[in-house]
Amino acid sequence: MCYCWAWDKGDAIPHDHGKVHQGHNHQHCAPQFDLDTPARGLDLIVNKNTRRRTGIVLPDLSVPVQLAIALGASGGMLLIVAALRISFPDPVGLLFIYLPVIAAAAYFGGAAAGLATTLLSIVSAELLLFAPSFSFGLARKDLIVMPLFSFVALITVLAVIRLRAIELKVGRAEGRLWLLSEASAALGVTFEYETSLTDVAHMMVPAFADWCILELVEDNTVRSVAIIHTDPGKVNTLEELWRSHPGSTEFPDDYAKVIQSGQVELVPEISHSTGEASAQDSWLRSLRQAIGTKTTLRVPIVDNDRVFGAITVGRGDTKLQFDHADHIFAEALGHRCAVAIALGRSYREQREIAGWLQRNLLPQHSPELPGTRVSARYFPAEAGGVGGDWYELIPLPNGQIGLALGDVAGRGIEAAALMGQLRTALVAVALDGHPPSVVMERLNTLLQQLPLRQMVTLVYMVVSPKTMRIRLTNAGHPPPLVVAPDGTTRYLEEGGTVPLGVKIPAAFTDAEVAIAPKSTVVLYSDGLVERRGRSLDDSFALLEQVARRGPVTPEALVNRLVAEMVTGGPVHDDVALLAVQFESGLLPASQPDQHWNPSGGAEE
Amino acid sequence: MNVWGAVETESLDGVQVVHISGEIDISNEKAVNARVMEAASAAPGPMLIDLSGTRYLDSAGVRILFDVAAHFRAAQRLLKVIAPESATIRRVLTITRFDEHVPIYNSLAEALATL
Repeated sequence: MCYCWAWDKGDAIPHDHGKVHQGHNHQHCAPQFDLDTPARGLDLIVNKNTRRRTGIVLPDLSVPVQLAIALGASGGMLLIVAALRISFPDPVGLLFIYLPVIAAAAYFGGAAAGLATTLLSIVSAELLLFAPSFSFGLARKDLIVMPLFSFVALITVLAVIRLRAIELKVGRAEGRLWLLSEASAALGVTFEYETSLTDVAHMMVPAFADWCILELVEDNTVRSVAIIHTDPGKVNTLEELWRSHPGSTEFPDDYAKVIQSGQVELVPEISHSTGEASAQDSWLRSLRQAIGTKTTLRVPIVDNDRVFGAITVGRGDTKLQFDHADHIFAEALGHRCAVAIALGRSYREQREIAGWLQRNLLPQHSPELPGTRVSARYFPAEAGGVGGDWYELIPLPNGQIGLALGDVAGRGIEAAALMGQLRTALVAVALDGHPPSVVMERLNTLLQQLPLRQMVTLVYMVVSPKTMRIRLTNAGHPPPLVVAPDGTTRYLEEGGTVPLGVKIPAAFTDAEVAIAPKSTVVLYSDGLVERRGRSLDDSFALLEQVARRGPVTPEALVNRLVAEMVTGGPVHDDVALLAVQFESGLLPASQPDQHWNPSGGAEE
Repeated sequence: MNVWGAVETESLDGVQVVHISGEIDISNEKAVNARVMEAASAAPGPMLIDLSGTRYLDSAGVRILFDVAAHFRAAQRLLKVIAPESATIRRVLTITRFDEHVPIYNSLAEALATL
């Protein structure tokens, strides 16, 4: 799942983009607020936390607009005061009307608006309130009141300007905190860190910067994971710039500086100067010229001195320069990305080790046995996981073939470890040519002594292709199925005993059955037949039906069983399947089979 | 224990009866095992495990049954299991040959009558 939020009318709705991530447009997924216009940012933070802020919006206005606001406010005040002057002869009281206007202009308009309004207020107050009454002469009262008023007005405007700056700063800080928490959440969603890193890069734009490049270093080469720009039209330009960036695919000097030192590189302002250009300067200048970048920040993705890559962000003229707080934020983000990458890589490694062990515990490929066709499958309960199911095909010295399929109870690496020990022991004992009951006896004795003792169900049979006779012992395992070439089926229910590893004394016996030439023997683990809400008998019936439904060659049988009984539902348990067909063509024509009894054959 | 499995214990004329309902699998195996062994040690004498309400029993459940059977065998106590022939889990008991070591009954009344 891609972790992103859709902002819809102020409500945050997490939405799933499905598994396909390539080509997915994240433009809408980036949190749609801007740290440099914190009012919007605050608004969204409020939504996220379902708090409500009472609608005060602090716009970021240009100086001319602010001056226009100051002029408007002062003009309005002039008219009001002039009108009031007629009814209230005392001018001093009217001075107090100026203060809220000055404060409001400074708070909503900005510093320039506030200061200009203050200046205009002082001038207009002097002219309108005092000058006419004293005929341009200075009275004592005037000498005290006007400086006092100017002082109070100045203090007011400076205090409000400071308050506004603090509010903006807090807004930006909250925005960054929110962004960091969102990024951390996104990084924790999956071990597929490249997906999360792409999501994080998308979150930075436009919330934190106008563009973002996320690079990873692998085997001493650098590759970009995400190149994002607020303006989709500029993504290509940025990508070209990145590619032409000296040594962008190997270590460039400045890159190495960031990567190797683990230090942040902050370019507060890219100058227009065309002086002596190092490689880095030319990269910055082209950024400035091609996409109007004014300030850049590059932080290493580093954890415990391991550098995994770097995040580079840039802002254009319309936004604030990166400051120290941005620098700290980006560094923290880089660190979190590094932790996610380290975790993702170690998870990947562990999974690979587990998968490798599993693959090597199972037969790599069935041995070539003349006169047999073999097909086998194994599905772990978790994709890429390990389990306790196994199968074995053992060519025995006397021309017979040993078939085994076992299931160690429990899951995961412990079950797999025990399975590996039993598998080796089984082959060793089987190769001595012992009958199944003896093989089982030995395995049970061994199992009772192993520290990992666990309940194991196992079916082991020795097939004589010459005589088409089977000797088997079944320790608590679901019965193997024999599918004759004419499509008739039969479960081998004989030779049953309790599972291995239980503390109940077991009496292992060999059962002997004959099967028709070219029959296929199907061994399977309980994962194939155990389903919630379905009885085992129903599953056995289904297994027979599926087996009868088509060709009885092992490949066809296994494919059919997988299609109809494994896929389609979640696999709760490991599934192992082994199908072996014994060709009658193996029988030398000159040697009639003494044991084969057609009337007492495969079907009962 | 997962929400699908429940173990209830009662005492009928000095016979411990453990009713296991729902599903026993690897997710609640330990909890079920603990509850059953707790019931086993609560009182001496015979015990009945009633599986008539058990819908699903995988190898983890079978392992519990064998462990309990081994425990009772060692203590020379009587253990009986109730699993109606119609129950979906009955077949698991025959495949694993559990029924050859512990008597299985169709109903609680039938099992109690043999004591």
